[in-house]
Amino acid sequence: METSAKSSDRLSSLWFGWTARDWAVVLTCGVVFGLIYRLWDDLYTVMLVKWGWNLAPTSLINWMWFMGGFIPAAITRKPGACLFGESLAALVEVTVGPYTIDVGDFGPEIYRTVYIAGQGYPVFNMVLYVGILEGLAPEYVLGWFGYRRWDWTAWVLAGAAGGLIEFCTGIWMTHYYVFESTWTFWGLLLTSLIGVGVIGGSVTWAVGRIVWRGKEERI
Amino acid sequence: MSAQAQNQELARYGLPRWRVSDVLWVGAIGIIGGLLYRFVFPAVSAACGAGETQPWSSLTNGVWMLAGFLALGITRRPGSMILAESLAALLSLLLSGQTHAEIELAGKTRMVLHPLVFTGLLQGMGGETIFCLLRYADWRFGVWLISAAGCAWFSYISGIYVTKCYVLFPATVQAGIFLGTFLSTAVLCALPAWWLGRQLFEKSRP
Repeated sequence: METSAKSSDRLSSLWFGWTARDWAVVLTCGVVFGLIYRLWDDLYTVMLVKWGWNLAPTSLINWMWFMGGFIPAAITRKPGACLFGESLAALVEVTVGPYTIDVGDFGPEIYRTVYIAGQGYPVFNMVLYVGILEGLAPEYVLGWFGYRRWDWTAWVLAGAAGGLIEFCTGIWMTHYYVFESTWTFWGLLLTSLIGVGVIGGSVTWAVGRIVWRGKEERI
Repeated sequence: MSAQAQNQELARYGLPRWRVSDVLWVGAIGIIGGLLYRFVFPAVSAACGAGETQPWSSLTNGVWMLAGFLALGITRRPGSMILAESLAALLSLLLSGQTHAEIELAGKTRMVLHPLVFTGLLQGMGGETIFCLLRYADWRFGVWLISAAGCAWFSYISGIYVTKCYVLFPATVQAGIFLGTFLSTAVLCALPAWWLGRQLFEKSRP
């Protein structure tokens, strides 16, 4: 009964049991990975535009854009770490400096233009909202495991959820994904899942294993 | 299920388990919701002047969140709001027969899959977030209100970025749209879902 009393204390708190250390980890990772995201934007652009790669193989590097949420979640193992870290990283990404390479559509701005009936309207850069969604989808997978499973399978599933939502936002929100062929469509879906799920999930799982060495991964 | 049995289940498994009856409930609510979304609610919100006098007509926006909230209130199972809301959106899209939509990108027009399923998914995700973070263990009315705010926020944001129908309005009207959506979601969805869940789970049945 003692454990259930303790857990219900923690459950009913809107602070989700976060300690000062958790806040430090999430804030630090959010800012640092926001800067790394910016560099990664350039890498992606170089691969896609300068080297002329297809969308599908290029998406194998998508895993890095999830680390701002995954790494704090793996280190703190607290509810909300993934969502908050990823949102913060996305905010840093859209706020900080311009792209170093000018490629038109992948703009650096805090504001973006959307077109309705030929007329352009400014909106806040949707990458921030994409970041919130990319933090939220893996958060759900971790939450549906009750924040009790931190093994490889759980991380791969969390990454796959992230890859799926990233695929959807690329079609419907940022409109980055223009499909020239059916092969590109299915290939992009596959490499999104592999890139974020298998690669990103494995990296995160390894980081969590190092930090929580000797601890059970299924609590 | 009584509160004590629910606590035992939580202590044992960490989260409430899905049962067959929960799947049936979510499926039925999703299908009925899809039919309502396609055939009934458009007429209702048109009668209330939707799309003409924003932000006042956004006071009817809550009807589009009904399926997800009722499913989560009745079953209290992880993911039931997302599932029911996506299912209802998918069904209403298939019934409408308009599966593709045009988007404009830098002056060029392209066809993509209709974003309605995506907005349905987003509304479900926005509403369920706070319950997920609280490990599906806190069902007080305040949490339902936070959930309604999350749902209204995601609905407003997808109106900006996905369907883009709110972009045309000035910032004050946009704030009114968000507020109206939140109020209607709280009254039309969160309140009945909270009440139903209380009747079903927090009174021990004979």
